[in-house]
Amino acid sequence: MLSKLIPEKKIENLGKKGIPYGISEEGSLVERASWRTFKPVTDYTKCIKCGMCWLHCPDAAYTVGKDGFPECDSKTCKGCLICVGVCPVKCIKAEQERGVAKK
Amino acid sequence: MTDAFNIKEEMKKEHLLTGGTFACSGCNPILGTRLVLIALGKNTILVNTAGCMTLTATWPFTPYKVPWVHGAIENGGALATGIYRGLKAIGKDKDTHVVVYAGDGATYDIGLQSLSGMIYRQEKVIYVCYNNCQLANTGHQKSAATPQYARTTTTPPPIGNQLPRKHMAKMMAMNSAPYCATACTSFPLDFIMKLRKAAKINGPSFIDLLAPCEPGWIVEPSQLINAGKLMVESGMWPLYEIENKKITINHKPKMIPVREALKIQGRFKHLTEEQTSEIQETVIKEWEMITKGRFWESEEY
Amino acid sequence: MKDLMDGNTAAAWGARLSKVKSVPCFPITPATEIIEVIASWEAKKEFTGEFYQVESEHSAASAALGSAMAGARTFTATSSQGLMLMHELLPMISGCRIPMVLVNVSRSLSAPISLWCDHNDIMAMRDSGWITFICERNQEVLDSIILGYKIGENKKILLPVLVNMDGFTHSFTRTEVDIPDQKLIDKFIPHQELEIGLDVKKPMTLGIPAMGLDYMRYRAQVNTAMLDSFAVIEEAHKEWEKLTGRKYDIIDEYNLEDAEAAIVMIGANTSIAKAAVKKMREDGKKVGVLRIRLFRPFPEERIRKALEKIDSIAVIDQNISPGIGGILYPEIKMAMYGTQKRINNYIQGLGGNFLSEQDFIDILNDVMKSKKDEKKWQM
Repeated sequence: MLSKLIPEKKIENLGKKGIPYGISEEGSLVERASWRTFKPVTDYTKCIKCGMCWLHCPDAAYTVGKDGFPECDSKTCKGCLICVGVCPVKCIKAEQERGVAKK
Repeated sequence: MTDAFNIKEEMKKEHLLTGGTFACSGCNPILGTRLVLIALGKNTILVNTAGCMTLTATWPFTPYKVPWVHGAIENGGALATGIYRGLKAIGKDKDTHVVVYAGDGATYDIGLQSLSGMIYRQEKVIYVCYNNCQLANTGHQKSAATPQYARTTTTPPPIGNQLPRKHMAKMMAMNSAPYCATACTSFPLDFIMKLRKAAKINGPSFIDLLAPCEPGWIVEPSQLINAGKLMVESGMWPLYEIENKKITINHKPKMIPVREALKIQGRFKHLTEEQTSEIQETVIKEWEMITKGRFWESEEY
Repeated sequence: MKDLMDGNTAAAWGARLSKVKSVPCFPITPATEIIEVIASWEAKKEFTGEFYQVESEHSAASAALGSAMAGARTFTATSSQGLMLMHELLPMISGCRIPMVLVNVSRSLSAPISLWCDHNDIMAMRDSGWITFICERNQEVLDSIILGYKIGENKKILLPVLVNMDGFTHSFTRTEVDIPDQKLIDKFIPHQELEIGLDVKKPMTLGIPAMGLDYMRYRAQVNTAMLDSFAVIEEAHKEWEKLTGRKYDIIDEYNLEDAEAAIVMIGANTSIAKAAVKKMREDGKKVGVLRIRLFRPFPEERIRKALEKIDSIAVIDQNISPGIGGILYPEIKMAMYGTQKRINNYIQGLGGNFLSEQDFIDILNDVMKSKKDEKKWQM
C-alpha cells in the first residue's frame, strides 16, 4: 500500500465509534497453531477430570465442556506440552504434527 | 471469596486471560498472570511494568478481560499507588483489587524506589514479582535476582554471575509490608491461596513468584514445571510466608541434591564441581538454620 | 473574595476550587509551598481529596497518571529538576489521553545549581503533547488551573495541561488575587465520567505497544486534538469572562496597533517590559509588547497577524539551547517567514536576574538600530 500525503488539518481525531482512541475488535484471537511441532491429545477413557491440564496451561487453551472433560483448543495451543507432564494419570500424549529439524 | 479452591467450580468460569499472545510457548510468567486472575477474579486491575508481559497486548489485540495498564519500567509501585488512591477518592476502592505484575528486573533493580515507597505508605496493593531471575525481554541480561554462577548474556561463562542475589521478600518484610511470601508456578494452588490471603490484607503485600523461563534458563518448554519443582525440592527456592515478621514455611523440601536441579537447566551447564559443592553447602546450611527457627540469621542462596 | 497572596498559594487555591480529588506530590524549591498549603488545608479538613507525598517526582507523575486513569481529578506541582525527572511520564500521559493539570514553577536547570527563574525547564517539555499556558500574574495562575480542567476534560480534547509560573517572581511575591465563588466553579467544571480509564465494569487495555503506522495514527490523533483545542480554549475563555469579568486570550497584545518595534516574550518579566514600553511611549517612541500565553499548541496565525505591520521585532528568550540560541526565536521566525522584518534574539535573565525597565529600553533601542538579524546576550 503506497503512503499518502495528507494535509495536517484533514486528519480526523476520531477512531471507531467516534471516540479518539483505538478500539480492537471484540473476541479477536491470534492463531498460534503454526508454532507447534507436537500436539497434546487426551485419551478421555483415562481422564479423571482433575483439571491439572486446565490449571497449568499458560495460554488458557483448555476449556471445560458440559460433561466436565477439558478440551484443548487447537487454534490457541502452542504445543509446549506442559499438560503432558502434569497429568497425574498420564492420559495426554504428544502427537507429532510437523517434522523436527535434525541437529 | 472463599478460602477453599474448588477446581471443578473454577473450571466452569470464563477465561479472564485468553490465548493467542506473543509469550513463548510454555512461558511461566504468563501462566502466573492467569493464576492471578483465577485467584482474584473479575474485579482486578492489572498494572504492568515494562518486560516480557508488555508485549502480550499489542495493538490491535489484547488477551485481557480485566482493566490493564502499562506504565514505564520503574514505576509499578507508584502507578498502583495512584490507581488505589484515585479509586479511594471516588469511593470505588472496596472489592477492587489493584495488582502489580512486574518482572524481577523492574522490581529488584530499577523499580525498587517506587516499590519501597508504596509499601512504606501502606497502600492496599498486591505486588507480584514474576521472577525469572533475569532481564528477559531485552535478551536475558542479569538482574539483581540472578542466582550466583548463572549464565546470562552480560555474565557469560566461564565466569558466570559472581554476585549472590537479593532476597526481596525478606527485604520487603523489613520495609514493613504486613504480608510477604515466596511462591512458584510449579505449585499453583499454593500461589492461589497466597494471593487470596493477600487480597484480604488491608495494606500492601509482596509475593515473589519463581517463574521458569525457557530461553533464559535454557530448558525445554515441557520441562519448565519440573524445573521449578526441582528448585523448590532441592531447597534452593524456599516457599515461605512472612506475616508481620512471623515466618511460616509452606513446603518442607525433600532436599534432593542441588546437582539434580542444576542439571536440567542449561544456564548452569558450565558450573565446576567446586561451585556446585559451594551451592550445596550454602543450601544445607540455610535449611539447618531455618529448621532451628533462625530464619533471619540463615545463609541465603 | 479578594486576598493578598503569592503565586504558590494562588496555585493551591486553583486546585482547591477545582475540587481535585488526588494530589500526589514531592517538594522542590520554589514549588514546595503549593503542596504545603494543600497539606495544611487537609489537616483542617478544608481539603477532602487524597493528599499523599510520594518518594520522588517520577513517582508523583506515575501516581498522577494512575489516579487520573482511575477516575479522580488529579493535580500536582513541581519545578525544574523535578520536571526533568517527570519527563519520562509526560508523553505517556498525553499519549494515553488522560486529562490533568500540572503546575510548573520555572527554575533554572542544573548545573550549576540556581534556584531562581529561567524558562529552560518548561521549554524542554514543549514536545510532550501537553497544552501549555505560561502566566504573567498570580491571578492568571489561579484562573488557568481551573481553565485547564475545563479544556483538558472536554471530550473532544482529552489532553493534559501544563500551567507555568515563574519561580520567585510569582511564587514568593504577594499580589492581590480574587478567589471566585466555589459554586460558580462547580457549575463551570462539574465532575465528569471518564471516557478512558480503569473500570472493572468496562475493562480496557491502556498504554499498549503499537508499532509503525499504528503508532503514527495515535500520534496523529494527539496532534489533531491539539489543533482542535484552539476552538475549545476560545470558548472556555469567553465563558470565563462571563463568569468572572476577567478576559484572557491566547496572546496578549500591548500597544501593538501602531508600533514600529515590539518585544515578543513570555512569563512574569513581561510586566517590566510593559512598564518600559509605557515609558518610551511617553517619549514618543512607537513600541509595544507581544506576550505569548498559550505556548502549545503554538498560535502561529495569531502571532503573524499581530506582528504583521511591525518592522523590528525583539524576541526575548529567558532560556538557551546551546549551539542555536533562544528557543522561542526560531518559532517566531517561522511564524514571520516571508515577511521582510528585522528579528533579533536577546538572551536575558538566565539563572534569574532581577531586571529593570532600562534593560528592556536598551533592547528596543538596539533592535531599531540593527542592520541585520542578530543574537545578543544581555549580561
